[in-house]
Amino acid sequence: MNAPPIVTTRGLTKRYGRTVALDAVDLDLGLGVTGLLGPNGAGKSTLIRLLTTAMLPDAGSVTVLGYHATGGAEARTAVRRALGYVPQEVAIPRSMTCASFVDYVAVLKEWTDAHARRAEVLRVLDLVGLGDRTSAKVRTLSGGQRRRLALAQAFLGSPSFLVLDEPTTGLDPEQRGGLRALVSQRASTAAVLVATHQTEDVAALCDRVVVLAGGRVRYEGTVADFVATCRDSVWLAGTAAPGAVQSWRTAGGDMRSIGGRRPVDARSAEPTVEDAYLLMLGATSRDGVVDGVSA
Amino acid sequence: MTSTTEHENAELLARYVEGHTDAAVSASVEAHLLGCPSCRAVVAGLVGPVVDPVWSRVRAEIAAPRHSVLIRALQRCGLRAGDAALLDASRSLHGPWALASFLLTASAALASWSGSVHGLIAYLTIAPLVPVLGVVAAFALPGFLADLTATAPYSMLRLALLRTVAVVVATVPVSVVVGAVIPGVGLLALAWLTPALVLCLLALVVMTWWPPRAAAIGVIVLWLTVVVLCAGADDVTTVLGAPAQLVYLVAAAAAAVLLVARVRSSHAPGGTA
Repeated sequence: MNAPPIVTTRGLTKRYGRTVALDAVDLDLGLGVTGLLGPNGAGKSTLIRLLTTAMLPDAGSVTVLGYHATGGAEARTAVRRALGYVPQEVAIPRSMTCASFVDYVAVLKEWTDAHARRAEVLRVLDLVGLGDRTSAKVRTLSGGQRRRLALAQAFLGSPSFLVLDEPTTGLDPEQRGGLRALVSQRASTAAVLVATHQTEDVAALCDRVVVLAGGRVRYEGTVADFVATCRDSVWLAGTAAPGAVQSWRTAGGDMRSIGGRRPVDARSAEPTVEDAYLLMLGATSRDGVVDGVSA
Repeated sequence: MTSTTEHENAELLARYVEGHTDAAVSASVEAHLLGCPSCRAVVAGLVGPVVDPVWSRVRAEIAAPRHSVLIRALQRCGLRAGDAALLDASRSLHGPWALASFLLTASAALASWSGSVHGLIAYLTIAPLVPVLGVVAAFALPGFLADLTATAPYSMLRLALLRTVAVVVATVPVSVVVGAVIPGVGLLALAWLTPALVLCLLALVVMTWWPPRAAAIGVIVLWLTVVVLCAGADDVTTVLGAPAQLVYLVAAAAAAVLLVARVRSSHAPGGTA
């Protein structure tokens, strides 16, 4: 990374009772989109809550644009000013209109001048393609439109740090494409973190990827390098590879295997982000720790 | 020669767009524009910068959320536009709380209407607790955009206090009116406002130590104890009599001082730092 990172964490640790949810996480997020992958319970939600200042860590630090989110109230407020956040579930009251919801968040984001606030609300609604639905009630919106509305509030004030938690869950392919386009437009001006279970989103949208498992960073690097980690471990063959992490019969009739030993009649297959992710999780659960892949 | 004409044309069109040409010149420019696509294109380019800001202001005005009658009345009394937007968003609280306070108070009042002492006790017990529950709910609110609120730079304490105001405004008048129109309650419908004030302030103070739910339980238990003691010792209405009112006022003042001290030492109610 050439430019200084926008977001930095050092030794970030969070425990719930005796369970360690996050264990000494070091991350640097610069401009561009970073995908955050990890199984349920890996610590993704905890990491997001710490990065968005919703919670304080037990140890370690979060720094955004040089401000310590873990410092005093003033520094935390400064971090919040630089932050745009789309939670996993945004339960927008159904009787609110698009404009009144975004207006409400704009007030929380300290847009005190009424004229400037209204103009900004319209700007972000135009940005997500809801400029002609400003007076529509939330209950009349489709699922995709609600997602875009939730995204609109995160764009208020063009924040330098965007955190999106599962932004494409439950969307059809066309809506997902539209959402990706919106998010990628921000990548030139902001550090964007996208937590997701959708490995296709990472392949389509992200420059870099972070894999979290058991509260620790298992991988951090470019998506291309991540895919390359399984280049010689994905096979198409008549039979499953012995000791494979995962294998399944494809539409062509061949068995596609990830990991394990090369089957005799194997043809090489083009690896995907999902292959690399499954291989890494398989190795993690078997050995506890993956050697040599952490960036 | 041609370029001079074009230049003059451009200058004339610019003056026309800005409204600096007289009626005769304007009319001839318009006549020319009807038959000249290239000049129309020039005018279209000139009009944008003039009209666009006006148009976006018009759109912003149209899209601006309409506040409820109550909020608009408060705005006329000096409520700031931003606070109005926050209070209006908390409107979803009003309905359930107004209904809850109506049901609670109505049932208590009906019980007292039947003439039994137990009914009166029920009314005296429940009415002051309604606003307290509202105050606690304003801080506890789990679902209402909590993720966004907790990560916004706006002070959560200020927001919670604003919501408290919204809830109290929504609950107290209903409880008073319902109490007052039921025979057998009369002035008692106003007399419980002072203990309610004490209990609300106490709940806020307790919430600087305990979570909202624990604070609610603590305050409810305290009030029930007071009512039971008065009911056991004497006529139950002494709990709202003149000497008791004085005690409540003093207690309210003490609780207010304690609350300010706690908030100053950065112990906000509900942990809303």
